[in-house]
Amino acid sequence: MRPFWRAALFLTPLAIVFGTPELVLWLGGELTNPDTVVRRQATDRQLVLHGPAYTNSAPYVKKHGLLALQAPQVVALGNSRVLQFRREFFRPDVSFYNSGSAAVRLLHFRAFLESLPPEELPETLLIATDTGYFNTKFDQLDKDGLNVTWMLNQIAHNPTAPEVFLQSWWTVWKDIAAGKIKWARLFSFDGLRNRVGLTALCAGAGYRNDGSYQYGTRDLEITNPQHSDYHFAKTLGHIAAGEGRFPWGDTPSAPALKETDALLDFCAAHHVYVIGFLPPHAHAVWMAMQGLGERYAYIPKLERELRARFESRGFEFYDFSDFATLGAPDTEAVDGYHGNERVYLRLVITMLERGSHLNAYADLPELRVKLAAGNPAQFQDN
Amino acid sequence: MLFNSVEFFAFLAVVVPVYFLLPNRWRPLFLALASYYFYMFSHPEFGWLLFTSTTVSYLGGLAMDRTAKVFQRRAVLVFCIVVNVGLLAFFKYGDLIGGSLNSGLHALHLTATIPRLHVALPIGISFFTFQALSYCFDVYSRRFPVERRFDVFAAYKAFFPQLVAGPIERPGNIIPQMRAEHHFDYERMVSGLRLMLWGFFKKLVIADRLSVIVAEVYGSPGHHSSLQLLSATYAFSFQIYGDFSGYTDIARGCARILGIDLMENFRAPYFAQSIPEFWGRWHISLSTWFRDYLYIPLGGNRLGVLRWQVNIMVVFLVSGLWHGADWKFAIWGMLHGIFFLVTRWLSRWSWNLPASRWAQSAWAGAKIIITFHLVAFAWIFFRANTMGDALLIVRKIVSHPLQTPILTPLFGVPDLLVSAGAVAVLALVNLFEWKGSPSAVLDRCPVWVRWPAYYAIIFAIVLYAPLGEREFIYFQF
Repeated sequence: MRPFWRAALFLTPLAIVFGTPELVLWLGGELTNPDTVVRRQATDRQLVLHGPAYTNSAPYVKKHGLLALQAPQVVALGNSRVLQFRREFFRPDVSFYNSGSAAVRLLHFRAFLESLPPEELPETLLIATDTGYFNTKFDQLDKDGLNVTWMLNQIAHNPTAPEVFLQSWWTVWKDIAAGKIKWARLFSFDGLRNRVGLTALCAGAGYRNDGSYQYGTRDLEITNPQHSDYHFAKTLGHIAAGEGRFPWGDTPSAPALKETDALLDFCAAHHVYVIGFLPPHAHAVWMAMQGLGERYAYIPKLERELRARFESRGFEFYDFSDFATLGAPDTEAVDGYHGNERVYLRLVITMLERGSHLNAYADLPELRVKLAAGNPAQFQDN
Repeated sequence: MLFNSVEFFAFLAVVVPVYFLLPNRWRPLFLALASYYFYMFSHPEFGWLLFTSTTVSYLGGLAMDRTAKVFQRRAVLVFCIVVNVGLLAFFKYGDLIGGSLNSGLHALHLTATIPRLHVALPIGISFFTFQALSYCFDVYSRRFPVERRFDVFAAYKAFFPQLVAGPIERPGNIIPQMRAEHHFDYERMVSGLRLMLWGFFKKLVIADRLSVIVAEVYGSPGHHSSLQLLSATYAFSFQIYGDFSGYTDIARGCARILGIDLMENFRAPYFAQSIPEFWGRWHISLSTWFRDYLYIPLGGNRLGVLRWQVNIMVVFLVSGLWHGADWKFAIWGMLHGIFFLVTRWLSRWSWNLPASRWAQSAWAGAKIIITFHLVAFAWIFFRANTMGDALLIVRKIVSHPLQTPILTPLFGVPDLLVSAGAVAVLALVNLFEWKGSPSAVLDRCPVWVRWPAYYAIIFAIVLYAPLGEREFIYFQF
């Protein structure tokens, strides 16, 4: 056989095995450099949805998104339970960025803020004090040294295209076999334009230009039997067993409260105004937790402890643990742990009605109009 | 530029076709320019250093060739040595010398201190300095004729496959090949790519995986048990072999594609049955360099037993310091020197072993195991972060040899099994290498054996190589 044909024959299987996932990753936008995404999200007027399926570059994107916007006035920081604060909740002249997903453990908050240049710190910080942070079974503070190192690596590491390929090519094949890759969407080339990443391209889910998260429409209906937490069945199971994100506890973790003091002191020292809140659960979920009585004894104690810490420094603190306090129906839950953007709109409205510092940045009557419009997907783009 | 980077593959994909498309006259110049691009890709600030060393050695060669007077030739040689070794000493040993003098001053209760230089170590400086010196020595001793074409000499000096981590080539091997006309040869290319593939396997699957274990355990030896330290020491023995011989294979494969044969640098070193044999199989280009340009000029074994022993210790001491500007490298070299002399001393006795084949094989196996453990013991000083760490590791291993836990709490069993499997593959190939040529064995195999073997290596690299580009260990030298 002639050398050319021999080489071609040898390379063909390799081209198929490695070339196919490479093509999927490239067309899906998975190989797009996060810096490019940050730049486009900061400058494009059009929505650029960032939803990578195979990498977690969110912490990196969130930090550099903040730096690209150059000290937005209001920043939401925390885990996925702040991700539904939208740019549209604030006046057009106010700069807002949602850094949710950048700080998924309590120690991450301070480490994340310290990683920013002091002049890039926001005026006002919205943080969700997730109850899990104060439960040692969930937020393992003894391992937080490692957690912080991990987080600092995440916010510093820009995954390269070869890294993304090497860590995901086999998973791509499995997803192709499972029929998860939508070829028509792939060849629309939107993955290279404004739906960056296969989750954004195929499921319409991802981080918006303001850093907030847009769930895909199929995820929104808790009443859909296909929903993974249909009528909160999974969540209620976790509550009954004290598992997952709902561990039981008697008292809030003392090291976690100490870390909260350190976080608030850091913010006070850097003139960052902090608004904290216990994030909302669907009423059914909250009632199930209440029904277990002393199993969750640490939560009311936590509310008192946190309120005292925030208010003693002149900051604000709210308890929005129950959808009912916001007037939100359970159908506005994404799942047993997350509310949708209407829940968070209600939350902002409630803060404004209670005289929050946020009144300096938001227009209460206009938000009421937006809420009354009744379109659950008004802040969606699908 | 790292071999294990996307940029290198793009670089090679351009260099190879352009090289063969150019007329033969222009190829050395092209190779020299490509090599400077390769070298300066990540550290452009050190390009001048390579150029200075090249120019001085080239002009020195011409000057030595123009005169027959021994004194003048010697003066030029000394000048070349002073410039080349001076640059090496400044960049590599400045802080070691300053730090040692400061320690001496401190011990004498003197307050004066010599300021630290804090200069970055240029990659590959030890390698290209030695390559320049071998040219100067060879021209001086008329072992090799002077090279008059600057482009050919610059290509020899900066040839990118072996520029930063060897093999340390001799002018007699490379310069004639630089001048010769090469035609693109499919079989050579396949052979070169095969060698590169094997090199990448050694580097990415063996060395880089083991480096995770070694870095964790050697990073804080006080917090690890003796079994963990012992395991990490074995791991480092294979890591450094995989890393350095992997680099050499990639370099040789790369050069082979371009029609140039680099010298063999490793020949199944861990199958050596004695320390002297080990040095005939490990980093051959360096050990032969020291033999030809240091040991023999010092008198070798011609000046009596005592002088021979001193010469051996000097060579190993210099070899240790060549590896790094730290006294722990000197200890590493001295240990090898002592092992070398003791082995030679022991070999004076005949051991009257049974003549049966089984007994001979068992004795050979025992010698291999003993030699490997001596080498592994010396690696502790090479790898430890400080001299104190090295002594702590030795103390823990010796005083509590079976102190648990083992590595499994630190690393997953599947990860450890993959690493062990990769080392087993390496040992198997080394066994072929020990007995003959694994390449020749592979060539005799039918395509349905060869191709699956190639595919298996490619898949092993893609599946098991840790993410991220890790530098080769010998870059620091």
